[in-house]
Amino acid sequence: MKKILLLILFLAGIAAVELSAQVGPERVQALRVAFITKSLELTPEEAQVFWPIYNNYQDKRDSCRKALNENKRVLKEHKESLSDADYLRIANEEIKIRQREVQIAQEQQTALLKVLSPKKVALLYVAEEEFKKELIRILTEDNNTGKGGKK
Amino acid sequence: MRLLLLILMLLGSQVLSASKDSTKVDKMPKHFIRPAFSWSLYATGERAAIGNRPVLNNRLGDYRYLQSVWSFYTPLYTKATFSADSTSLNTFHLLATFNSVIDRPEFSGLSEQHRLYKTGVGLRAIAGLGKNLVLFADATPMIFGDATDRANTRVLRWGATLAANFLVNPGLSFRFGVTRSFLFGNKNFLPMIGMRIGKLDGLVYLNIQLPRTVSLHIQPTEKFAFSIYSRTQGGLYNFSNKDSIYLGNDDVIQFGQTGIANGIRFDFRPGPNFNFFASGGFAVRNRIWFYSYTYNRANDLRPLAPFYEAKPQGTIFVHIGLTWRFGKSKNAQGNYLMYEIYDMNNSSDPGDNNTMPGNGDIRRAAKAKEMHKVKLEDVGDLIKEADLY
Repeated sequence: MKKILLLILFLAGIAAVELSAQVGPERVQALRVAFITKSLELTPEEAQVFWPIYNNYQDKRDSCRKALNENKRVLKEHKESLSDADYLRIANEEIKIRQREVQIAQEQQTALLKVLSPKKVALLYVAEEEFKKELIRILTEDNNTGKGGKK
Repeated sequence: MRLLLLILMLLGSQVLSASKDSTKVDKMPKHFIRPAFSWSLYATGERAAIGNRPVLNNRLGDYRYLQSVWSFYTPLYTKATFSADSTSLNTFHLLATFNSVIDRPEFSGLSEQHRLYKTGVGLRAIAGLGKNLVLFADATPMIFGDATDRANTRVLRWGATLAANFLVNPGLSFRFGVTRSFLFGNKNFLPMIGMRIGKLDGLVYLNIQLPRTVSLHIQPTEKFAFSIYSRTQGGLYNFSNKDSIYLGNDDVIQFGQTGIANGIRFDFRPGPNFNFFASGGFAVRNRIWFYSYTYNRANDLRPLAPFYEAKPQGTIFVHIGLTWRFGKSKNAQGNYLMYEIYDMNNSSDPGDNNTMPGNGDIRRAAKAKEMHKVKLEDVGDLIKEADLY
């Protein structure tokens, strides 16, 4: 009986931790898939080839974003101790990473044009922007009505 | 108890690590598959095991079956490359697997119950090729024995599976292969044939994977799912003869059991890392056998000719378990071939250990209206000041 109670308590603890766990990136990914698939009217066949390509470049973009965040962290935490040479290196890196992001976008477009029509590739940029704006609109609405915002 | 404490410590460290500085750089995930640890407990009701030898029927008495399973898999190596024309992703996944099973066939007439163990460490290779094909290979050597007499009952066996999965479209796939199995209380190479109708991330799908399982899955929300299933289960074990079930000089005899579990399973996935399941139903077509290799060899009988065979009546069963996935993985959202890889990885059960971690790593497809559930911190990174004008 004691063991069963312990097990129930343990499982309840896990469930509580899990329910409060941040599922943001995973959830946003799932929503992005739904939004873009609908916006571009991807057929199942198109979706099957589109998402592996898109996810691959998304991972590369995430890698750039993480590198930019790392530089921001360094600037924030070591503002007083960095030399001019360090600042210059970080500033140059910022430009290099942004250039890399453009290069990734170019590579993604070349790959996508092999599986989607030019119209759908062009509309992808619109869909990505619309997705962000839709999220902002919802968050603003929720914030105004007191439903959303920070946990 | 120690294991429970270890799990709590690991869980605590994961929670703490989740609250670190959000601007700190993280390593990009190397793998598509997250390590997963799972545990389950299976138990049937007690009933008479009436077999072909009245003397043994009286000796053995009523029969019930208990099983606990610990299993773990982790990716060791992942390679992802695009085809020459950059239009399809080829992936290769090498995983290590571990499983530890304790089977307890309990006979009310025996003074001490036997704990039949099976511990295996294996390697699994999965390749996703192009847009439609997944190749799967798994080999798991396992040590079998009876914990009541380890010295005399230990034996090395192996389970293996070789399969191919063809994804016609996200809602239809076929699977073929061969598996070295103990599912029917014997050692066999069995053909595998299967098909799935419906998307793995959709509301409903039907999965027919013979000879192991037929199941209908319904996933109303991302947190709750249930399935109705019919599952073959069984095994072949070394069994200590210290109770003299076989009246020869054998130290060890063989015990085989098989049956079909028809049940309903409820899955609860509170977050990205854990899922729990509870299932129950009716275990039917149950059979148990005892074999003596030495007797069969001496009498020119096939190795697994039973000296005792019984058909215990159908009975209720319960099966509960949990799966814990940890770490991060590469993004596979919307990639249906990767979902097939997850499904094959989660449903492969070399050695037929009743391992059922479930497809917790396949996220239920979202709907645009669910955007209302997003919180500001989920999307902070996506927003630039230009988006606000």
